[in-house]
Amino acid sequence: MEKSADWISRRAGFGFRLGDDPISENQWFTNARKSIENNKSYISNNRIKPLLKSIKRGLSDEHRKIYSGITLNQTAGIVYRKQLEKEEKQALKDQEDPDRVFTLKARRPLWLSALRRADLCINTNQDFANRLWLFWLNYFTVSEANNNGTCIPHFHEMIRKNMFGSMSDLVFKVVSHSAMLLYLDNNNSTGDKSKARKQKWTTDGTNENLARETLELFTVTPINGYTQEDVNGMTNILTGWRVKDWDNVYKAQFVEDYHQPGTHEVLGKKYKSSKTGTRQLKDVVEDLIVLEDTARHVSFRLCQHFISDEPNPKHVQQLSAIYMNHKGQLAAVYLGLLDILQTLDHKQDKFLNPEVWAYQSLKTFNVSPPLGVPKVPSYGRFKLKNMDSILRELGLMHGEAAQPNGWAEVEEDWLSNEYLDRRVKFSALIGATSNYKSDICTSIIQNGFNSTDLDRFNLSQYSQTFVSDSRPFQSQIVALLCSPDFLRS
Amino acid sequence: MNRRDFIKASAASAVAYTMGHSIFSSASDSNIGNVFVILLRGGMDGLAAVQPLQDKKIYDIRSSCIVENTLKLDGNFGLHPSMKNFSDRWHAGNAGIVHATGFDYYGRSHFEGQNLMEGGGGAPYATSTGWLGRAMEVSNLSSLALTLPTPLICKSTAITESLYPTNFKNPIFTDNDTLLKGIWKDDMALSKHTKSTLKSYGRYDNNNEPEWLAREVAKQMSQVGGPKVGFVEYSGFDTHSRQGGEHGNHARHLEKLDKIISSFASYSKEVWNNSIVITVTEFGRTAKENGTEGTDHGAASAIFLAGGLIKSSRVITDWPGLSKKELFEQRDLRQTTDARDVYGDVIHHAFNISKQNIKDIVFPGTQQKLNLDIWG
Repeated sequence: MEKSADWISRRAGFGFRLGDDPISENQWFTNARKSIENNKSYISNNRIKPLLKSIKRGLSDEHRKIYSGITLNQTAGIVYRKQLEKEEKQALKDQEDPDRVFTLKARRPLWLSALRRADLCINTNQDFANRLWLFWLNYFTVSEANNNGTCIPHFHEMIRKNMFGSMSDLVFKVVSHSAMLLYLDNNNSTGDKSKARKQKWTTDGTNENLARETLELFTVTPINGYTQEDVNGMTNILTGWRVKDWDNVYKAQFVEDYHQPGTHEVLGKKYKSSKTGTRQLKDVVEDLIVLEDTARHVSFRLCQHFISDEPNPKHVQQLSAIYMNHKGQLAAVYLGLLDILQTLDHKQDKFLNPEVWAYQSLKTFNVSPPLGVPKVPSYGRFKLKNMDSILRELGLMHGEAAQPNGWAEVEEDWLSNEYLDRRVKFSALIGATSNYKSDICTSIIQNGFNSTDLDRFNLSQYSQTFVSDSRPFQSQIVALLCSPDFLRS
Repeated sequence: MNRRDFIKASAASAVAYTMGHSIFSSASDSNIGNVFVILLRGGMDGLAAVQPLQDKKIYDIRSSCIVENTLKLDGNFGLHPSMKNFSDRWHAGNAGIVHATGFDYYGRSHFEGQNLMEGGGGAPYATSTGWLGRAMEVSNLSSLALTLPTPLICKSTAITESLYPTNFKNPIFTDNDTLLKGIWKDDMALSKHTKSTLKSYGRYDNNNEPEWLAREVAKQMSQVGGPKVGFVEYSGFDTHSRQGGEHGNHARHLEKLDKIISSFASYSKEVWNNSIVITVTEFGRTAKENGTEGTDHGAASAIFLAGGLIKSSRVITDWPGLSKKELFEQRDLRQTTDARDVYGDVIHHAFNISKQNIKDIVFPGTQQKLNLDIWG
């Protein structure tokens, strides 16, 4: 019998729906390779366009553009739109509370993007591509800061569009995006000899935050041994990259008047100012991207995310060599990663982060992501009926990481009683409350799991018996989702 | 003030110290103090928190980040006006400040720096356990972290439970006791957390303000058999832009820190007399202000200490100076006191761990010759 894809779909995707026929492991890998080779096809999701007109009517133009890809069914779309409208009406009534209106406007894109992410991951068959997307969102962490909230969803979409191209293009677009420029304080960084300073339009000078993190987190990492001089060079190159027009906040630009003119040096290479200005940043990024240190870092991070907390150095080396041979063309690296994944045994030894685990939990039981609209302000006791607050509670909400190195990748960091408590509580919602119902849940709550279904999770003998013996039947769902075998994949 | 001019502030005011009655049932407990750790991620600006008054160079290298109207400490340094409660503790004789201190790290990376401040090793990523975790292991103590993840600083074989407010209500589901004990039974990693996860299950609260968290730590530490070590984290000190002086971003963060300390002080009640609060941050910030009225990643910072275990308030420092040639790479305050010696002396006094054990186990590779001289 052909090996089933159940294990790999959990390791490098979002699992499978009970009730759907299993596909073979080979088929899964073929699909994954195809989604990389024809990467454009998955970005525009044609099957969904007609369905979400209803949601779109409730949105501003920018949001409409971003969310034209949402894949919810039409009924769900109408429900969601109605809730958004209700919330907006309430906010308008509270005009005397400008904070509330402001928060609603600023946060709405974030709620929507959390919903869209869940929806894409659970409801499309672009498993591996979507996992890569989540990986990069964390690799290039941006959190809400310095009024960048409305840019974050746009930033996430930009990554999705560019993650199959070259690393240099991706890094260039990341560091020159408004969300990042604002988050890491580059927006006001001004060259001391720039026109803006000479003409006294501003008293601002340079700020090295983004420059340092570009070297440390996105490219070569401290192992490279770069010095303060290199950080200074990078800082000068980044001066002038800023939001020029706040009405069009997504579009950051290079504004030469704020740029430090002249030649700047990074890692022993000199970069001349160019007339268009963008060339200097592009050049330095291109050079950083093809360095061994960057190759090793990207490869290590990918291996750690998809293979093991402590990746086999051989795997890292293998991927790193592919990266170097292809000069950072990411599609080639992903294909190399799939090759490695295909050689693995099926041990369940990679702990799933809360986001992937939550999507897999919902998908397994065919439960839709909850469509509630958060109340504004969103503090106070509220019911967890929306994706962003659930992810926040579980501990991994993109756009809210405490620091620019993002969320943890290893099991040890996810094992605390409070994190585990949230997972137990979330598991216990499935099938138990109106927002988390499906036919599959109902059948399990009435009759328990059938053994063919349970077999698909590759549980240990002990877990398998424990889950099937759990009573009432609803606790079988909790036992499965919290079992060591489902928490890992 | 000259470099190498060792400053020892006199006690701000002498207070009679009376030993609070021990609330702990076991005899050994009464010898062990409580340590409450506040992890300040992002790099606190020691020069703004505790501004040098005699080293006038600061006015040459800072303008918008200068703090006017500092609170009185010892004549050589002024305390940021946001730290009012800390100032009260200072004047009661129960506070200390160590200045120009750090982890012998000049790499200016948050993540390497945080790994060092929590791991306590000689190089970044050299250890997978935390220095307080190792100290707890030596003394057989347990701790409580008011955080979602367990911070590296308390990782070891010692028990650290975490507690963090949640919006998740307990679902209508009863027998999770049997369920978790059963399903995690054979899993080494998960079964370690069964008991504490079941404890988390009954709790429901959604206030995650750090001062509330400090209150929870204080309450639990005051219970008989409660944890002896508590942790709370506060991120946000990474003030690259518009840092502010007396008011503004950095001032707001310090105000939070002050609230955390005062909340712990008031809710720990008599346990306060047997406690010490310590702050830990990965590095200080550039001595010179940057171009956007902020400060970038630097080297040395300051440590705040408060609690009844301290009997005389002092600023302890070997001041390295702020002139260009005195600064590291002409920009950062040099580290003249190893933070590991400071924390070593704190746990030596609080947990009764011998300096030899601290040298061997808690902070390998350090000398541990420092006596903070605040213990009375």
